[in-house]
Amino acid sequence: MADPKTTADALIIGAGPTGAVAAKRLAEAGMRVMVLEQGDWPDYSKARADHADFELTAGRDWSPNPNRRQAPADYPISDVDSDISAVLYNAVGGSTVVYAAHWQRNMPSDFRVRTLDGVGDDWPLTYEDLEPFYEQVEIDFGVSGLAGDPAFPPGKGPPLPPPPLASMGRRVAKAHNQLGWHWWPAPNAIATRPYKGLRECTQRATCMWGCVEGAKASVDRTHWPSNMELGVQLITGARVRRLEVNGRGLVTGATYVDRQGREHFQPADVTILGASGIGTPRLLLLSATSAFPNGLANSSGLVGRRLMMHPFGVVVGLFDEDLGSTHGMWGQHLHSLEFYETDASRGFVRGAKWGLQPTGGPLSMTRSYPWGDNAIWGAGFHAGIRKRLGRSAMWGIIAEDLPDEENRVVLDAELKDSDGIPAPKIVYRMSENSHRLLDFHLARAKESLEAAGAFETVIAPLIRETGWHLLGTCKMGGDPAASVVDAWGRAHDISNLYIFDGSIWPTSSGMNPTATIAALALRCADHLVHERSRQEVPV
Amino acid sequence: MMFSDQDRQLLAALADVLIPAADGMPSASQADVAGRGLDQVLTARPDLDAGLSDVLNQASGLDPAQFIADLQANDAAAFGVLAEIVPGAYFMNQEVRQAIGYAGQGPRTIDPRPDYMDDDLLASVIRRGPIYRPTPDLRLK
Repeated sequence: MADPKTTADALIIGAGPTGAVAAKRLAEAGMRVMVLEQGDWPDYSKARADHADFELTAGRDWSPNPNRRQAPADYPISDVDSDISAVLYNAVGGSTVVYAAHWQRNMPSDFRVRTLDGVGDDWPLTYEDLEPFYEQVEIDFGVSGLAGDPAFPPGKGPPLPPPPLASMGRRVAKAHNQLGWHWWPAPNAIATRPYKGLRECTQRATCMWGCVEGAKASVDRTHWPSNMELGVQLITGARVRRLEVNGRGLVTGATYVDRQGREHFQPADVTILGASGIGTPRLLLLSATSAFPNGLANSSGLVGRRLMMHPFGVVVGLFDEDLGSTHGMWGQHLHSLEFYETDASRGFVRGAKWGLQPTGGPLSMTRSYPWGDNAIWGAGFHAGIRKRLGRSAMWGIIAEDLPDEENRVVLDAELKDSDGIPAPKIVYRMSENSHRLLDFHLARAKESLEAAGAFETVIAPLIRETGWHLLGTCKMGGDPAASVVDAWGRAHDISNLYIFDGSIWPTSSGMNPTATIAALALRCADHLVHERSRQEVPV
Repeated sequence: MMFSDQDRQLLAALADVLIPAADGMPSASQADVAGRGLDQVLTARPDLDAGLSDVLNQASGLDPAQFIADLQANDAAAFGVLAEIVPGAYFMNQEVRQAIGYAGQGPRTIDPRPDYMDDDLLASVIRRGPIYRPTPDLRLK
């Protein structure tokens, strides 16, 4: 075990999925691993699924928006120049604490976007390179799903069976069969059977607001307890202020601030960033020195650039039977990748993934999202509730975002966190391609629900707080002039600095990203272990 | 903030505009939204207290229906406070929950039967074959 202040073999910043997966692999290889996390362990005593006030309190205690949450662990994010607000969770477990656990591998084409579609960039690896790591992390996370999905190359399925389609899923499945459209039982990082430390899901549809059952595979449950048994040292409440660099241009460790405002330095042979597509570039920019005036690892100028956040759309269908859709997996019951691949005749490139979800309890039936202008107040209130509650289902649509260097993370000139450290600012405009893509998919999803028998559909208004997937801000590639890290996450400019999180994605895919974030972190960590004897270190 | 009887009467009047009695269901005031319901909501969400106070101050002396219409049209944030408190309180009322057949987000055991196998649902999806584009340069690697 590495004690504080003694040199760690590897220092990881961030205890989310990237840090959890990397720490596990490095510790299993016998490395002394230290992890700094600015958040705390999630407080599941605030998970209120069993209480009448669940719908009232869920958004307060489990809000994914740090600007709304304003917990001690959070830093503000300026989004005044962004079409979308970034959402993330600062805690042991990171954003897996509040994610919906849709476990989507990328498709092979997602790694060859430039070659196939003439936009974006190819990744410096292929689906086939990543496949064994997908398989391993699916075992580690206890993923549920069904092998044989024709939207992906043949291969092993996840270890647990998929969730039931449920009434809504069976309706949509039959409709898609009639339309000739793809569907498949959905993959989720939610245990459908007891699995290692996870309990069986009880379909409360409260997955994003504190899984009271302990069935959702957030890494505070799947990884950190066993990581600590392996000897990984995790320090919570540790906000990293900057990475330090020596005269040889190597990172020597990190300076962090504890909750009492005291500053510490943690030395390490190698430093790995897993602080999200916003936290990671923020830290590199904060660590500028005279030798690295534009921030660490930024000779390409791409640190913070190419922010991608996946514009998100929702279509709700109302049905004339009780679907039981107050409950289910949230989570997803089935997914469709019918329109995922590019078809240039549609007027845009790339595509989106659809996930079919329940709609929740009665208070959710009254809210402006997803119901938009279809308010039911007044004389139609009770009929509206009766029409919606348990009788509605919705497609959630993840739209691929193309990289644009003008969409970026910078340091805000004035805004600071509670320790006086400059806060990040995001500058983001949704592209014309994204608008066209989303419009097309919303229209098709409406057709899907109508074909499934919906007597009414509602296209939810686009809302700001949907920037769940923070990708691309430290691009991975082979050319040091056009990328920040290589195919193994090593910074081109600093040989003992690594980035393993979603920052390094060259393109965003149209999938929920945690499966690929985890697989990529494992691949990078595995490579670091194998190359360890050749690793240049500061001392 | 302690809300007076007068405040609660005003809230009840506003709440009944949003949720009137109809279709065999009680109105908001009949479900005691402005009494016990409000107390329950503010215990769970004390952050709504100040917003409600502002709304009630604005509404004082005005026609409830007209006030609600104006608020909905012109002040989404203030309307949002009422739109959270009123149905939030209403749907915590046990009689209301019973009447709409909602028992909360309690557990529902997963049926282990693979319903995706029903009616040979997957057959046509499988029969159609792969829909992904394979890695184009795989053979060159």
